[in-house]
Amino acid sequence: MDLGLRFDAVDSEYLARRGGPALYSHFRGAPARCTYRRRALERAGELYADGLDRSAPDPEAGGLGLLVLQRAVLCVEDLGALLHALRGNDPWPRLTGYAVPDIDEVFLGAHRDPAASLRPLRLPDTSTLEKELGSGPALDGAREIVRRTQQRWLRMLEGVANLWLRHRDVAKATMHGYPIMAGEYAIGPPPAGHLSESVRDPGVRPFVVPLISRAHKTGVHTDVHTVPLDRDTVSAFLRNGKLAVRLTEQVCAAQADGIARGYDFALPLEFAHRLPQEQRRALEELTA
Amino acid sequence: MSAAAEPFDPSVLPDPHRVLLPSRAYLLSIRDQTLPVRRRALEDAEAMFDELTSDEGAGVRDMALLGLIGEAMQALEDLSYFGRAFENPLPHLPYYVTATVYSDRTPTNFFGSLPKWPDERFLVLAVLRVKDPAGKTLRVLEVLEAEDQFSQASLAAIAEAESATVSFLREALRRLAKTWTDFRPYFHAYKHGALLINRDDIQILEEDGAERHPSIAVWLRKKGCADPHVDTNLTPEEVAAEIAWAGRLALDVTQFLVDSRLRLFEQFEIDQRGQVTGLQMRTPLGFWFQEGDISGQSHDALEALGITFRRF
Repeated sequence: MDLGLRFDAVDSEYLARRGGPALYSHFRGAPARCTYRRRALERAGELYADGLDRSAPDPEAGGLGLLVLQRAVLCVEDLGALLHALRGNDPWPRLTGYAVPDIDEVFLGAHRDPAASLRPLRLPDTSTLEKELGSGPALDGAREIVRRTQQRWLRMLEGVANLWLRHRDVAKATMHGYPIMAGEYAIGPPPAGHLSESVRDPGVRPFVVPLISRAHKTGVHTDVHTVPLDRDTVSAFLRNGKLAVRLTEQVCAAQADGIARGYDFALPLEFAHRLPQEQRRALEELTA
Repeated sequence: MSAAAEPFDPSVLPDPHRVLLPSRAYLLSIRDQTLPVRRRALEDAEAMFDELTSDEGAGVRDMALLGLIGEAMQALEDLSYFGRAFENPLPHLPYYVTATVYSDRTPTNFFGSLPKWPDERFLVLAVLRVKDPAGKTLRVLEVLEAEDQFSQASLAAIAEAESATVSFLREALRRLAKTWTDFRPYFHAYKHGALLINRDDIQILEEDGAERHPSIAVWLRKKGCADPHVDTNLTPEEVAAEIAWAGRLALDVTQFLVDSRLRLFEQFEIDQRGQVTGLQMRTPLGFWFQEGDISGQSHDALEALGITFRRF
């Protein structure tokens, strides 16, 4: 059996320089993946809201909140993996071989140096735009698109990075044996023995107590903390998960479009409809 | 079994503060938080796959199938952590602590070890045997010094039910071990970057040039290079049915094991402050077997004893 990837009208040498056919195919497949991730996340949100509305017991309601968190963090990991891949010269192996600390580095970088974190996404700088577009309304429109896109992507990245950096351990725990105690059983009555001494009641319901342990030569250390899963907190998971999906979609679309057209930069056109008519028309003529 | 006649001496119990109460809270959390939500998530993933039609795009449906695999495989992973912790725990620690230690090898080691398990290990897993501190395996009724309260016929029925439960668990876990091996690449693709191969871009050709259409296709996660991993033997619907069945089986097995463990905790009378104030002796045995795996006589004997059992 032989498996191959096939694309129409794409320069194969250029494709190789931009990461190869598998990566290009991954960009092209983003709309389907993102549609699924978004819908799965929304459905988790509906299950959680339904749980609260029907006054599900706290352990079940907390579990449903964790389902939202898990699906949101999966959306964030998709994005983090993509950004990690694009930061290197060999993006495809980076995308398929990354580890969790690589994603940490992406999102820590988004906090440390937001502007630098956008660089791998190939938004064109002014000189590139001038070289490609000369002067006139198309250049003005493209500059405005880049400015708005940078602002928007940075804002999105901030929320997404916060979700990952604050909650990825708990979300990962839901995928690795679920070592997470329901808050109600942690504090009791009756309390959960010595574990309850480390639990500070967050004052909202439901909440959970992840028990994330690491084995050392001398024993096991368990980190005990609480995660509130009230409506506001879970809404933030949903919101940031969706931001991650949207950013993944936009980044992939811009990359795929750039490769298809043979441009070394990516010009997302999400904001084109907000441009003055003259600029919009000029850009449409160029990108048609 | 009758109530204990002798005065209650709590010093013979494992330390309530460090062992009994945390373990109980952990098991209750699995029963009332983890398992119900895993079931809801699996049902939701199954419904989403069923609701999506090809009109909405083959890629979305492929992702929904990958999502269903992800939800089901999480149930298998839970079972492996639980099984490892309660059958082969880290030494000198309450059992539940082992389940909280992450290792990426836990599921593969657990499922991979099962073919070599003697019956005794399945009996320990199902809390039909317990290990003493020296590692010696004892019958639960022996530990409770309660065997003399049962007739020979009752003990024979219990032994038959134990044997049937071991057979059932061995077969169930064998099937789940195969599922783990078969579906692991798809599971990893689902949760690590959504590495689905875009159906619109691939072409799969047989040696004779005939084109094949995969039920699902992903990129393997691998450092250095990623190979495709494709199934062309089943339809997407067949894959969905197989993995959803396995996910439910994993949840049912975990439920059985958790209920079996919790039955031990029902022996203890615990007050609101967490003090163990007495023992309420009940028969802490639970069995699970296929219809017809034990004789009618043994079946009746178990029912007469009020012993819990499930039929598959």
